[in-house]
Amino acid sequence: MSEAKKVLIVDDSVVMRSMIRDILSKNGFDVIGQAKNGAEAFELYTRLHPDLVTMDVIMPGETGIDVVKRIMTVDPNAKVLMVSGLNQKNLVMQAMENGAREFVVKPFEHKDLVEAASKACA
Amino acid sequence: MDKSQYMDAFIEEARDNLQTVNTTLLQLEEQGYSADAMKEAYRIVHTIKGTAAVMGIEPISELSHVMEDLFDVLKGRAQAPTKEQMALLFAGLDTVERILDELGASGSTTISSKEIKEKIKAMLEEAKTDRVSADRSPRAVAEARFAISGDQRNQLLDAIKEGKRLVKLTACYSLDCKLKEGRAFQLVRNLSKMGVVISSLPAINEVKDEDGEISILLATQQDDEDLLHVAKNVTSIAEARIGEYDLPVEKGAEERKAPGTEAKGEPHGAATSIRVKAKLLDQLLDLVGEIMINNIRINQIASNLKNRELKQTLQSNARLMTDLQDIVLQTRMVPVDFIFKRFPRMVRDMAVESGKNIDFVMRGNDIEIDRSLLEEIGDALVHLLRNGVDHGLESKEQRAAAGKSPTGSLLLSAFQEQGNVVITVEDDGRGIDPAKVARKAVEKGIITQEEADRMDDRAKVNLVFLPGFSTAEKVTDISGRGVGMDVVKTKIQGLGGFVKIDTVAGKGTKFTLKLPPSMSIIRAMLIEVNREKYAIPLENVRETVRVDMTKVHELASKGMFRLRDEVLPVLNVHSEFGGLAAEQGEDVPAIIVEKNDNRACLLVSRLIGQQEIVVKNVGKDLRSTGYFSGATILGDGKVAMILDVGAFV
Repeated sequence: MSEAKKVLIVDDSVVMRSMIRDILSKNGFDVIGQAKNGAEAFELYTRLHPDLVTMDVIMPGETGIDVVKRIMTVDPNAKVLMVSGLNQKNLVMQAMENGAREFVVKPFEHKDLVEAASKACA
Repeated sequence: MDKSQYMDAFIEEARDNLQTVNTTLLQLEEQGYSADAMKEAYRIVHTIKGTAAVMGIEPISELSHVMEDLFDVLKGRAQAPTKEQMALLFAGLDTVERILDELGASGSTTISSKEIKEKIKAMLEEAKTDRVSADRSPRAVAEARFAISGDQRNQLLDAIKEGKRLVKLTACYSLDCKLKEGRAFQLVRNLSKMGVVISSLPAINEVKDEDGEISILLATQQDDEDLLHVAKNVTSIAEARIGEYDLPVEKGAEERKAPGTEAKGEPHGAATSIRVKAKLLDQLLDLVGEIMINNIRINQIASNLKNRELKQTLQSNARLMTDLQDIVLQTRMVPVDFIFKRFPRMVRDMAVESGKNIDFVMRGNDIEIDRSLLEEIGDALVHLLRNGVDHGLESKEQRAAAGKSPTGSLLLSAFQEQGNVVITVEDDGRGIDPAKVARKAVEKGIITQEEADRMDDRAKVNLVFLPGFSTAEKVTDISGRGVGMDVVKTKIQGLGGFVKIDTVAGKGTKFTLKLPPSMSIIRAMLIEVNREKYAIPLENVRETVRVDMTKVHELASKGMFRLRDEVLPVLNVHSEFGGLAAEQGEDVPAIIVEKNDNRACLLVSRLIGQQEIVVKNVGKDLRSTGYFSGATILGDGKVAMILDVGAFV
């Protein structure tokens, strides 16, 4: 495998952030930043230029979709993995239409997340 | 991920699906081509293939793949399978069933489907030879059903002008795929990099989570392999295949349905039924049984305490328990159709094999019966049907000679009678000849000539239930398989039912199986013998009496007792079970038991009373003594054996 992909995790839940961080770190990804809302996410993205962003859909303030749109304006090749609940179909579809590459539905198994992350980076 | 957790569900679903294909094929065979039937067969075989592929069961996925292709070609051509194709398709389904059986038993399979797969493949190639002309038929076009607007049509024509070819790519979602619309979106997006996506079926915004697959119409210059690679690389796409697609004719007069008006699956609504693991239902029943046993114990304790409030609460509890028990028993009821539905195919095969014309009719498929009972009687019914085809019904020539219609009739019916489920298997064949049966039994050394001479016709006919008996002039493939008639009888009796034969020479034979509605909780009479408690199913108890031993007469070394105008054999359960002294005196408690119209008087030490008992199975060793059909746990926690009255009458 080439150099570890750098990941930015965006989620308002600390539990989710830790979980995603643990799973991805154990599977060859390099978690370089974590954001708990859209503003932080955009700021970290422009500063760190990660290879992959895992993006929660619903967050206080800006939604994940808003953040995807903003990131896409500065980097049309950004690779975003949406982390969604089962009942957030419309939001996921919106995110995908706005450039998100992949999505994974909670609850997910470790391998589902790793697979989705790898595919989003490919 | 560990797939074994899906295995049971997979096997169950695949079996259901197989059954439907079988039924559909039979329908096609009988009634000829029908677009709906072909579509149904195609769709289901496709589903079997998809799930088998996801489960990694290649012998099934590969076999069903070629079967699906064959259906596809025939469907496109609006043809029902030919006789040869039908035979191969049936053989294919049988192979899948065998693999499922093995998977169910051992969790893995060693059966190869290669041979039958190759045969079907060869047949497929043959069928494909004139495909070009066939596929262009207006019907084939109408089948494809992609909704294509005017714009899309132009787009499509442009693509063809540019030298692209039209491809229909169908992708199956994996079993655990969530939010399928999103996956469909990704699929279309990724395929768009490989060519022009013209349309999809269903449209992306109509993808539902119940869908099993999506087809995409693509104009492309890429190789099939590359396209499949792209499709399979989408998360949660388990499998993909490519089919050809022909340009639809201009707004065709031949088009049977406007695109988009096809039913798109079941309407959404709250589920009115759910699937529950059978094992859970068994456990639930067991638990209800245990609670009932505990309740009996609590009642005993309460009666000593003489506490009124406690007693009232327990009474209300008892009512609730009865309701609970009823409901639990209801959840276990399934229509007999559950096993009946496989019989038309089986009888058809047997008819073909034996060269007989058979009109097979089933009635009462919706009669409900306890699931565990149903599973137990499957083999017995198979045997009786085989028996009917093999021995009961005559050949066409014999029937013609006897002035009967060349087509024999075989009737399987289920109905309810006084709380019991009765199943009959009836043929209009030659009937059972008592003299012939008796002669065979003597020849085989099962009975002596003297015994035979003393028997009436009915007793002679019943000899067919003895182990080692067969009236078959030669053992055919049909009757050579499966269980014997003696096993049928033992099985049904073991379930607390009985088997009866009615036969008229030259007119036909009817086997009647009478089964209890549920084998799990029954009312029983508790008795005591040699200080041990036993239970006798209440349906076998006619009455309880007091016997004056001085009036019991010895007759042919058996005690006989006169009850009103009937003389009954008196059996001493003490001595049967190796007890010492027989009961003596003028007032010995006894039970008149009956089974299959036979009665006997059983002497016991004490009659305890009636109660509901939960039947537990006993091991082979105890069952083979012939005395016991099961066991139960009593209020005091002790085990009581359930007497099989058949052993005494």
